[in-house]
Amino acid sequence: MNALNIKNLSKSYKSFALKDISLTLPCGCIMGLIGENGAGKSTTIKCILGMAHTDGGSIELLGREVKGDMRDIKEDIGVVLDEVGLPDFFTAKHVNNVMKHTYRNWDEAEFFRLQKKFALPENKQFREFSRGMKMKMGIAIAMSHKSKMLILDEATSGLDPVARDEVVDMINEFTRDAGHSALISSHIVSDLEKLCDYIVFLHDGRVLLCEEKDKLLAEYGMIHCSNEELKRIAPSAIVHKKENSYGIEALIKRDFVPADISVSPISVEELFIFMCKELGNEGTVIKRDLLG
Amino acid sequence: MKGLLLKEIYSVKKYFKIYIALVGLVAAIAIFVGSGMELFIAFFPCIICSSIPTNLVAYDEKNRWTTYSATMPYTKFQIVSSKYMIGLIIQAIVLLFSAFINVIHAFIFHTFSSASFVTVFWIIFMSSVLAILANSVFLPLVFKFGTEKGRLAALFVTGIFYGIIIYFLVSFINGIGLESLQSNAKSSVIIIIFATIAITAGIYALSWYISYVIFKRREL
Repeated sequence: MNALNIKNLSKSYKSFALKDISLTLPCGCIMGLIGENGAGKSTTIKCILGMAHTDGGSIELLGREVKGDMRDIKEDIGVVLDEVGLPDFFTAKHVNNVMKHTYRNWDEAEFFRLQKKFALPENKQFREFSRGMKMKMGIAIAMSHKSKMLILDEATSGLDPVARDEVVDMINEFTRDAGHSALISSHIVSDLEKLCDYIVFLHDGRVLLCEEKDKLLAEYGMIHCSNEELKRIAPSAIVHKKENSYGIEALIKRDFVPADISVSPISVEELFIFMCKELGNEGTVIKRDLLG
Repeated sequence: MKGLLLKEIYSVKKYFKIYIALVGLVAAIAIFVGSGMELFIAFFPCIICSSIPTNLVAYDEKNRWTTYSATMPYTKFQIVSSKYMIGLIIQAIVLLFSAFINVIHAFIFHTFSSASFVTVFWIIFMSSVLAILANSVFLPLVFKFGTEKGRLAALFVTGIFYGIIIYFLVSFINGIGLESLQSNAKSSVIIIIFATIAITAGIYALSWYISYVIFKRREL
């Protein structure tokens, strides 16, 4: 079963549109939704959660269609948005009391175990929490009702590196269970690179790429070469090139590079930046090329 | 739904302590200071508490609870309903509290069987009705325009509603209401009360539905 299956999703606003989004997340996997600010990550997540109306396409979440009454689906999903919207005076006790009357499978013992684990003060009000603590509280809630899937929208943005690393660890712990899946959106690509099995690049409301991370990293590479060497590579294999006084730096498809030219591995972040720059430089022709 | 209502109860306790203190203070003054306070204690609690559901929506927007609650297993109807239900619960408590304080006041000042005692209870009832009607207007406005713009519209409507309240009070103080009430047969008073309750309930239900339709269309 797929944890998430989106087919041809479209959604238009006055100045922005999601166009023909299709992606599939198998159960037990983590998918990273990467994109610049305004690329459509949050809109996609809102459509998945039924919080925004769609103009076309279909969404299946944990095998059930996202439509109408979503209470049953939401019992199985833990959501952390860029801001955890708890009343500012809430303490852990308030949260527990409200959530145990909200989720059928609320696990009080697990919630307080996570509070201790994340070193969240029991009697402090939510307004006194740091941003990192607020995010941890959101994750503790998302993980305390036996959810099968986590959906996190920019949950690590604005956090210091230590807090971000802790959040990444928490998500890793959740996905140790083979039945647990996660969809995580962020523009901090390094976090997603540590976690994800699948990577989706969103740019200007479109899916640039949806691929297994390992396959992606095996497919693309970086070369540092001269102009002459670059001419030996098929133009279709060159995704983007950057010229400077030391020579040429190019993102390429490894399979088309002659054996004598050494190819360095590339990070997901570099790949994303290069692809976005290419779209910025060349426009729709390259875009079509990248989209295959 | 229980979780939503529990959150509203916690919020009322936390954010509206000052209202509770004010109502308590006015009640204490009414009981210990003497007569002449009956009218004030009759309408003040209902009116001051009528703004609570609208303010709860404002706090939800500030805390981003509205968006967060939409990620939980609640329907949009339940989210809207929590505000209407807490509005009714508050008015029921306030109505009983005002009645209780006035009974005590009547015993202390020996006005229990007088005509003014009936007038006071009529004012408590009408204040509750008006508070519920005010909520019927405020809530769809804040669900439609948000609390900033919605409140501006609500301020305008508040002026009209409180104008009506003052008109009623002045009418009763001048004895017009009381006379008409006393001149009516007992059975027609009961009919008036039930008709008022039925009309108010109808308007409240219609407002509840309109808010739901507005909120259903809203993207969170």
